[in-house]
Amino acid sequence: MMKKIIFYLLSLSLVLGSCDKIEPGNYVIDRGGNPIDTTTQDTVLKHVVLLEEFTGVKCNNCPAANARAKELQSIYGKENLILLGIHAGNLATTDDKHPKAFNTPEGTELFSFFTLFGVPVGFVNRVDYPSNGIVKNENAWASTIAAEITREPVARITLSEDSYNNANMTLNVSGSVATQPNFTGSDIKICLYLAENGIISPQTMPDKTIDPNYEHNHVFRGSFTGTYGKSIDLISGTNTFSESVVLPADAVKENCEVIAFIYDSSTYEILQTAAIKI
Amino acid sequence: MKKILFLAFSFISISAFAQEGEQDYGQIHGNFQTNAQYYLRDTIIDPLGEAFPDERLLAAGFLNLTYTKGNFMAGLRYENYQNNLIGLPEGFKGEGIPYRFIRYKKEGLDVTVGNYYEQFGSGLIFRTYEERGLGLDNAMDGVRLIYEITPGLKAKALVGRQRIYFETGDGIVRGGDLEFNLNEFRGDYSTTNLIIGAGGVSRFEQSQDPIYNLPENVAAASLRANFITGDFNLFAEYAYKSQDPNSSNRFIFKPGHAIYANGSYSHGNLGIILGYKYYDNFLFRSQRVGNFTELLINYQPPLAELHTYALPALYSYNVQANGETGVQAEIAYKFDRGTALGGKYGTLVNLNFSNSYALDKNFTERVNSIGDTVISGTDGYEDWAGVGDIQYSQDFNVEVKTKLNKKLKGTFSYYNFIYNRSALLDGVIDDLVSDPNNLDIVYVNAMVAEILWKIKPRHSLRTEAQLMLTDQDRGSWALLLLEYSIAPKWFFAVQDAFNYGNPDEDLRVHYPLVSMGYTRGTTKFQLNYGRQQEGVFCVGGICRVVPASNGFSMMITANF
Amino acid sequence: MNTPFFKTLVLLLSLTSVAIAQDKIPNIQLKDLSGNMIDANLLENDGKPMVISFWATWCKPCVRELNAINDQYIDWQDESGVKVVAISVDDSRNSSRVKPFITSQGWEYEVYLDENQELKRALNVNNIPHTFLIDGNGEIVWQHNGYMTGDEDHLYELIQKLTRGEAISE
Repeated sequence: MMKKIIFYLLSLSLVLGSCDKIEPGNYVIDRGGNPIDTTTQDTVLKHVVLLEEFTGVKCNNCPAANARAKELQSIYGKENLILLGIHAGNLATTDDKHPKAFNTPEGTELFSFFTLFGVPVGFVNRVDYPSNGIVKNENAWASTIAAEITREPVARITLSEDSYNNANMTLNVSGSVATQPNFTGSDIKICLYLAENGIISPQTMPDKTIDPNYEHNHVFRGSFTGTYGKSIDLISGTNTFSESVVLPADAVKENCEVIAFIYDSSTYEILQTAAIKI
Repeated sequence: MKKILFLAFSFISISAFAQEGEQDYGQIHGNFQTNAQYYLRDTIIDPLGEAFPDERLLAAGFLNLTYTKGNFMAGLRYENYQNNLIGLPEGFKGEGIPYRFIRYKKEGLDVTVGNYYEQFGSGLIFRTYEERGLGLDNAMDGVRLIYEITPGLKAKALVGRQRIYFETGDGIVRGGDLEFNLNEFRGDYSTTNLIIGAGGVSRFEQSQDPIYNLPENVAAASLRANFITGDFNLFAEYAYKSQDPNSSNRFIFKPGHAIYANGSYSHGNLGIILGYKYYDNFLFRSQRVGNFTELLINYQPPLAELHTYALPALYSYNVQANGETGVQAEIAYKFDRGTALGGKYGTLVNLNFSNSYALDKNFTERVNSIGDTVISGTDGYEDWAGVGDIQYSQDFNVEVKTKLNKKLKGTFSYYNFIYNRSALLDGVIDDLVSDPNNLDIVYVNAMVAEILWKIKPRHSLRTEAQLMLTDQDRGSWALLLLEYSIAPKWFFAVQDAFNYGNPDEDLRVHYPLVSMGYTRGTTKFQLNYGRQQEGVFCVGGICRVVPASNGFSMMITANF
Repeated sequence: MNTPFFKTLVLLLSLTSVAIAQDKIPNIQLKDLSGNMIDANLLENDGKPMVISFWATWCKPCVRELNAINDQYIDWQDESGVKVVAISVDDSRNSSRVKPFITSQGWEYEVYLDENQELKRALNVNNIPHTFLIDGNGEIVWQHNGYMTGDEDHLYELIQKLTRGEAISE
């Protein structure tokens, strides 16, 4: 019987011994201050990841999620990880302390279509839709992005600004989508979204105080192609598109960028993304 | 769906056989409950319609079936959410069988395959349980072995993954526990006993994080001892958790410590309890990322009294997952009948005091890759931090119970609370606190009088009059409840809560509620109609916020 | 409302009238207030009726029920020899908290702890208070969920039926 006890205690210590100890100084992965991929040549095609974070000006947990997204972008590089902040839900509404809320009909429609109920949450290339795992909280973004970013690119999107009419604030862009040999997917839709950086407006902070000079970046301000985009035929391998949008009255054109992505309309998975500053 | 009906039919036919022949085919029990709520749009309590569901009618229900035959037991639970009621986790959607098991016991060996609930000691390192009112169910799905090595020495070993809604989590949990019971060992049933136990739990979850070097295996271990004599009962448990950077502690690499100690003395008419808790970074989930009650592996006892009267319950305490410390003291005394304070029938007096403080954490900071100053990726704060300046709660209450005459029984209680609303409801704790002097602290005085009047055999009237006074938060409240019951089948109740002291004049409203219920044996039916105030529903120090609502609600439970 | 769900509801309500559970207490271990392990299926009262009631310190109706029975327990015991067993399903507040509670209430029942709520689950108990009446042969003949003042009188009528040797048909 003594043997049985010793055996049992040994196996118990196995459980205890099975913990990983990370040495101090080794907690954070040392990148030497460089993002993961330093090649910035346009000709090298990569599977770009789009992180759409749902947020709100009254949401006190959102600044931390925002900081997380920015940190991840600094590690992977702006050309590999594209951010979009969609203001939607009950915490993206105005009141006397929050004069601006940045909610859009398209953003609100996405919020209710994917049955979101709170912020901050996000989509990483809108993967895991059928299994209800599409809604990811900020701590799940890192591992999902890490997995997505190593995938082989399946298409190349080129995008350019055609013209801008200052009088009626209409912006025209056009571009093309060229598939790679390994492209699979049907019922592809293309979406063009307008985002704006550098908006200074009040935001509720983690301790429930309000920062009147919070800088909102990559704020989703509207869509060229409606909430769900337009169908695009990629069977022949390449296709072009040309769209326009009217900027919101308070938008600053120099701070805007256009984000284009193609997705499979049955799985909602985003297959490639590109962005340009305008 | 057809599968369920088929299963149910086969169970019925087996049980039908069980009534007939001489041979023992085993027994089947089941229990069943359904809750449905039909919401009405109420612009006064919910002007923006935030808590008003689009579905209007929400229903949730479950069915438990258990089959036992000799040493063999099997069971399953079918759950159905169309959709889950407001305030409960949204992840419960749809229907399915999230709980099923087979269990076999023989000669000291007890094996369970499938889903099971288990607890080591006080639960500090491992406790899986279900609490439907909170929407908490962290059942394990795997294998559990319980083996009695020798009488008095029991060993447990388990492995599996935890339930999260209708799926299982990613983290693999394994654990073991050894408990020694002196009386069992000596085969001696005396009132003096010593129980010693040791346990360990570890979880494995892969890491692909690009920022941190996260440990994939996290382990926790504990030692406990319980010494019992005729009048005294002393219990103490110490637990340690290795580095566990997770979403709740903001990815710090500090180990965790926990101490839970409880001592009591009871003799004659006097009962005394003293308790102490120290929890430091002791939230343990089977995944690094989780919200609220999802995937909790352990349980931190709150050491605070749970109040069940509606108004004092609005300020119930919930355990702060990242660390807290506090004490509790309770004295209960029964004044015998015939004595001066005892009155004609005897009087029970109960005094209770408990508090909770934050730990004094001096955070280590680092500058991250985008230039922000953060605490993640550091050691967090020093080990064995002392009591901090910020108080989470304080609760002092007195309860006096007595029988006034042959037909009247009364319970009178007084409560005094200090409630740190910023921490307990808004989650502003530790490094999120920018100004310790600017926290939302609520000071409450409350009184409750409950009278039970046995009008005539089978007919009785229970009255509750509650008054809660405070200048902060939602202001003062008054509540009156009248419950008339006709034993054993019927009850009717009328309740009104009036928030007369609310700083917002539009919210100084009444919350009327009527209910009725019918019970027959083990089948119970209850119907409510009215307006419910926003509050918290707490069990064991874990709370969920119940938003204000207006409408009908119905509940049916049955056992067979 | 979802029709398959509704159909199951109807099916189950009819089930309750079909299945008659003539059964005994299962083989699950409980702890007494001194930490001794007791086999629940070995609980007995020498051929006389036994009441098993699931309660918890925080459950007000449970405490009311056990207090109401306590007021008359001496008379009940004299007349029928019934024994009341109170099983606490308090969470990890172990025996060190339950015992002073019982002392202060002045209860004289046999009290056990169902620490992991195993017996509660095995006996199919959903909410507390839940009370079982067991006859002299160890069979569960009646059970009741919830408590309203006056329920204890009804319980005693059934206990008296058992002592007279009558069957219980509800």
